[in-house]
Amino acid sequence: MLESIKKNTTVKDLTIIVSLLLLVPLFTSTYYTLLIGSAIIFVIFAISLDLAWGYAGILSLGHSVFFGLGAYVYSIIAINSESTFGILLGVLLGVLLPAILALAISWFIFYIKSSPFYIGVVTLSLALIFEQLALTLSDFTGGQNGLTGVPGYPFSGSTLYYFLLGMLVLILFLTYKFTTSDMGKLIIAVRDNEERLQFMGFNTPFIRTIMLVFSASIAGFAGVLYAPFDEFASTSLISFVLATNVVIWVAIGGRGKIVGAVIGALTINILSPIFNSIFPELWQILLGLIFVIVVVFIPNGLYSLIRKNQKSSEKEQQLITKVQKGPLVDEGKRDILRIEDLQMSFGALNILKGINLTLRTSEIQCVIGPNGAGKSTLINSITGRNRITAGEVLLHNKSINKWRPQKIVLYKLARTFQSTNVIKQLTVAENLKLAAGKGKLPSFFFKVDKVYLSPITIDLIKQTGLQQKLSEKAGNLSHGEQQLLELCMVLALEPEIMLLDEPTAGLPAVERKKIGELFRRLSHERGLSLLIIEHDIEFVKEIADRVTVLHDGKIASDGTVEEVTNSTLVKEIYLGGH
Amino acid sequence: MDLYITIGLNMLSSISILFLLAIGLFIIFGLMGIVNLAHGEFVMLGAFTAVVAGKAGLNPWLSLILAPIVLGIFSMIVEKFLIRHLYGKIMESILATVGFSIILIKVTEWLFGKGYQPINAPVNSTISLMGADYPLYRILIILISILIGVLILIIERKTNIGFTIRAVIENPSLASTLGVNVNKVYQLTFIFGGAMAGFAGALIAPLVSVYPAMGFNYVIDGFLAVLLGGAGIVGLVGSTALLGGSNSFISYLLDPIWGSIAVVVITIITMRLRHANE
Repeated sequence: MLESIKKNTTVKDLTIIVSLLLLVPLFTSTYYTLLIGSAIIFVIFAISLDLAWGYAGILSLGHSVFFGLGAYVYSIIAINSESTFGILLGVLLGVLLPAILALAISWFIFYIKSSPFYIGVVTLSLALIFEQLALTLSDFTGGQNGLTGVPGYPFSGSTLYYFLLGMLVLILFLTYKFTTSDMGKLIIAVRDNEERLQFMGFNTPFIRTIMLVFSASIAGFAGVLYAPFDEFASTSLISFVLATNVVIWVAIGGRGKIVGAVIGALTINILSPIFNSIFPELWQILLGLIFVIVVVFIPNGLYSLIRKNQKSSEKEQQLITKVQKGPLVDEGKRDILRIEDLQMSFGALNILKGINLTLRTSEIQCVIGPNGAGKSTLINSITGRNRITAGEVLLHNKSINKWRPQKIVLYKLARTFQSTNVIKQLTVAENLKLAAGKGKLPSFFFKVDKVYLSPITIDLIKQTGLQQKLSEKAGNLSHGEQQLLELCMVLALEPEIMLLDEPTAGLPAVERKKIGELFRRLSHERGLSLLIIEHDIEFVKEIADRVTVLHDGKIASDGTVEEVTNSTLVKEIYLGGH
Repeated sequence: MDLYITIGLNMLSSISILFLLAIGLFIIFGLMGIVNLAHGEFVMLGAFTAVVAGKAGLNPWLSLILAPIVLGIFSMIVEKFLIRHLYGKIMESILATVGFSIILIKVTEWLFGKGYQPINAPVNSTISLMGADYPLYRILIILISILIGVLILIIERKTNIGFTIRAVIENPSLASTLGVNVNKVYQLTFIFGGAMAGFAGALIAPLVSVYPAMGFNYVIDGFLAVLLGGAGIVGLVGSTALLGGSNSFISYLLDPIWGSIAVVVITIITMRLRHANE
């Protein structure tokens, strides 16, 4: 175990910090020990924000609402019921009520196309409101004077300190396991590329909701720890000042790395009481300045300066071939996707002006046409990325006009993107694992080192040489390799229909030929329906069963390769006529 | 009857104040996409300029000219040293401007203390409207905000400046190849927005509590109005009417805190319903 601690920088640094904290009572007075104990509670609070913000990308500028609510709820219950049962109820509700509040907020802010800015403004306004509420509802909260007489801990001094430290270690352990689990990787992927994850079948608003609820519970827990520590609950615990402070601690320390949040929160909360008693305004101005400088010039926080190279003890990922039963779809061609009079406009700009198209199983249909004809918009409209203005898209005779991307993927309709859209922060294997998950939430605690993929996906991975690069970060691959990874990821979804947007653009001829053969295998052997947007007419001639020419938002021609390439209309379109 | 008139006029003046606050944000954020969470502090500094001018014995009307000038210069400096590094980086902009606003609040607290600052209105008389006596100053604010709204609409739609700004927003690189100094446009827009904030601060100072931390409430309401209003001035008028009016009305019925809550709740519900299918 010592070996793995040495290799993994996060665990090493956390061990160092906890070890130092263990020694505190031996070297300082009770006063300073408890000062550091109080800082430890704020570290737990900071970790909760780091989970929501650093890992999940939710800029919660009002996180003190959860902390303060936990503190107040515990205090109100504990004051009114001094029994053990009352204390337990206080703890439970102190964690539960912030979680419920987070659930309610999530419904409003995640289920729309929102920016981090909107989320930041709404959460900040919540901090302002709740602080006002706490002042106004003084019957419950003691208003400006706060709630005194909160029952304290049954122990004090070093015992109390070690209890708090124990709680911190517990939270650190759970957080570490979570952030290194498969779910932890999924969270990071959603943070960096939410839309792409939807196209892999993941319900991203739900995932973000889980994270905020989880984070709010931990923040509430920290509040529950704080109230009996101070034996006092006041509006400063639910204030906008505290909300911005916790953001400052995490930002200065370094977000998204646990250790950063710990260092930031610990250092500042140990120094603040000391400096605040000497020169309060200057200290706060200084802190603000450091914050602004770090944000602008050292965006990853001070921890990133200390630890430039992160080493982790992650196991190699293994690719395992799934047992495949037979072709995905029955023999023979049948209609699987029908597009009827599809129209799509951006305001006054009409892009698609009435498209009629049918996709059949075991068939490759290529869509060609000049730039601006609406080819990518066609795919976007089918897959739920753009809203359809009129017409119908019918999948297995069901209208999917209003379906969200994640639902469409689960019904085995998948697409690639024109510019590569892999998750750059994660390794090739982790990208594949995400795709193979098909929208199911993975383990919150463990990191499974096996990835189950269909035989044809494994073939492609081997064929493209990506098998050698499983542990490489996707962002480090060449453009062509990223495109091939993109293709593998779509295959991993095991779709029945694949919509491909210029899948071979930028690839050398040798690769193109191989990809062409793969497409033929997929469609003629496995029965898939493929719609491919392409510019390379030779490639189209080689693989297409049908060709559709899109021009100016309408279908100009639709037929076999010979029919279309011999059509004078098509020649005119490509030569610039009308 | 005059109770209704008074309530109605209160709502109108609330809407006008919100509009004045939001218009600066609309220009900077809604049009140019520059996030400045310290905007509320620019308003606060405008109010404090008026306070200082009042203490120095200057004519109160003068501070309405002084404040935008002071804040315009201040914005120029801020743009040069801070905002310029943040174009295009939303997360960093939010954080850095929040940090900056904290610094501004703390410095002001250091210089002036945390408490409320006294200030006199330029006019203290009331005017009789349909049977109700109503403060003239508030009526003036309503008229000024309507004037500004119309002016900005005209500038946006009918002048060269308006066209230039819209071109830069649409396609900065293309605009720059056509000889438009894009950076200059950003800079001037920011200065104009900041000056507007200063003006709004000096204008509303006699009506509200002036203290260093006053800005955040305003900036939140302002941003919510801009986000709710969407892309154009007309939308902004609609959202400020809805939010400002509700705030005023509900504050009157219950308590100011519920008015503030109403603003947030109305925004998040409307945003949720509006984007339900996306």
